[in-house]
Amino acid sequence: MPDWITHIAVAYTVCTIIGFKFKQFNNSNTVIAMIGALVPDIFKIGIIIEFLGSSIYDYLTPLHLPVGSLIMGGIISLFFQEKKTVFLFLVIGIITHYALDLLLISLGNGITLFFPFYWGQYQLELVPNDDYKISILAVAVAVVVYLISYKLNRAEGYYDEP
Amino acid sequence: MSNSQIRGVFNKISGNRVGLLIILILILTGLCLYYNDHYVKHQNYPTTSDILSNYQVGETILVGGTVTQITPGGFLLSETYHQNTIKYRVYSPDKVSLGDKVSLLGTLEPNYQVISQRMLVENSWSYRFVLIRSFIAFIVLFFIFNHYWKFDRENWIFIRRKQD
Repeated sequence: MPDWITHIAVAYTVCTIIGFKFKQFNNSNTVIAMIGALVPDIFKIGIIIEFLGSSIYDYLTPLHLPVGSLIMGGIISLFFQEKKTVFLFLVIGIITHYALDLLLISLGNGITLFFPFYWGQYQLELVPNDDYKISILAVAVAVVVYLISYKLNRAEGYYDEP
Repeated sequence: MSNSQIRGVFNKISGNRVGLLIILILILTGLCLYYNDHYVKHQNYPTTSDILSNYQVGETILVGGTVTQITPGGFLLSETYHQNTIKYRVYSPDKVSLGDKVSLLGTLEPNYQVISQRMLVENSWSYRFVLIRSFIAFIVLFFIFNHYWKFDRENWIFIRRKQD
């Protein structure tokens, strides 16, 4: 899957662009979406647990499927004061994660998007897993979007001292 | 509303939060158990876990691991599954290096030999670079999150630092 830099850069870019129109996509909510972009990869903790001798990795795969990620998002949002808002932005981040993962090249076993309702697997087979150029591109776009956002906010007087 | 009433309401809310947390964890656990019981039937290709229980010569398999030795006409691919280390003798014209991470689609032959059909190779340095980039991203995100959110230890909840 793409590295975490790519995931959080894309989540940031998507939320900031939407934020040009909808003010709910502010910085603090965008950070939640960036966290949501990493939620599906929580299952990688199974690698560490397996290294310690426990055979749990196979059981954790649903965390890297949409239904498991959404449930994890629900669990995480329970630890925030504004649960519904946080859950919404976590879901946005989760969606960006799978949008990127679907682009990856695989050898036959794709993402079971509709588990547990349907076991069909999907993969678009466009991008190699370790392509650092994708990361550079994602970060470059995020930087450009940040600069545009900064200029727009400055023009609106957002950064002016009271 | 008196303080005791407010505390009672809060306890009720907190109780609902705990209840919902338990329900979600139970649902997630059920899904994990269900997936583990059924995923083998729905895989496109058998993997190492299937090979260990049902070795079928001539079958197209999907395995992955680390290159541990370069051999004439191919290499040795080492995969660890539940503390079992399996060494596949892969026959492939593609060039690999020691330490490379390889995902392999191939035909299973006797004695864990595999004739490669299609392969994805991730250089050892590339894999480590991905891990380093991801770790840096995690640290950066932690600091950004801490800039906008803080943890209320009394109520065990994250709240915004300021409205933006």
